[in-house]
Amino acid sequence: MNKYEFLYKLNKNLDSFKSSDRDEITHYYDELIQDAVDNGENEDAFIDRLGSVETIIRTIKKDDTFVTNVKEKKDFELRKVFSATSKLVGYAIFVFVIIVIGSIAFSFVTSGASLLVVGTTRMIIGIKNSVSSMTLIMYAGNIFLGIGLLLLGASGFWWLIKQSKDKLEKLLEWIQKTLDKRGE
Amino acid sequence: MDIQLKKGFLEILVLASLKNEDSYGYRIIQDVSEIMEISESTLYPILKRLEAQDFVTTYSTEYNSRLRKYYKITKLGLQKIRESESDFLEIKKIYDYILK
Repeated sequence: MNKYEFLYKLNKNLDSFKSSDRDEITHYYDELIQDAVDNGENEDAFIDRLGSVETIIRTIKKDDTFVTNVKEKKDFELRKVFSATSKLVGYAIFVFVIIVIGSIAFSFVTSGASLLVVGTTRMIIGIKNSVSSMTLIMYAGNIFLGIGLLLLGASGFWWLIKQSKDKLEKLLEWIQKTLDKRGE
Repeated sequence: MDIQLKKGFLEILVLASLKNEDSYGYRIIQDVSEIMEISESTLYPILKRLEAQDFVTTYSTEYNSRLRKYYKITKLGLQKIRESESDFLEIKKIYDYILK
């Protein structure tokens, strides 16, 4: 059998393979035969030595599951990397939100506290100096606004602590787990 | 030699033949067959295995106005060779016991 007959038969028998695999296998044998001939070997004798097309294909098919398994394992590892990345992005967003809400809560608490202090002091001084009731009502408004802001800020903090305690524990746990895996 | 044993060794032998320079199918067979019998049809699945495990990469270069596929060993492949060195000690221990 010459090279063309052999490659034709091989290609025809590879019809159950993907066309890219089919081309690759045919090219592999084409290259081998040409290299053998270039090296001074007899074409027909070399092709005889390759064995039957059926045996060649059986050898490749036997190994197919191995290659597929390796590929599936790789896909799985890739998915793991993706989920780790999205987790990290999630935590980054969470930390950002914490900082924003934290600073808003802080400004509420401080401005609420100062309004409360200022309102109370003015109220006391105002009562002593017996100012008009309209002014006293304004001071009282100051005090209530202060209390309101203070409570709002405080509840913001309370929410923040409640949320981040849970998340922080999870984050630490996750970092620990990742480090453990690296160490394996 | 036992077929399973041989298969494992052939993978490492093919990698070892690529250690110093990139090579192509026909030459890999010539190099490896000096140490262990390998046929053209067994090399192909081995190369596919090595490629799937990222132990080798491939590229094609023109030679004599035709394309020839070259195999290049990767860092992972070199690491695999080093790992087989520790296998050697284990195998030696096993045979020391068998032949005792």
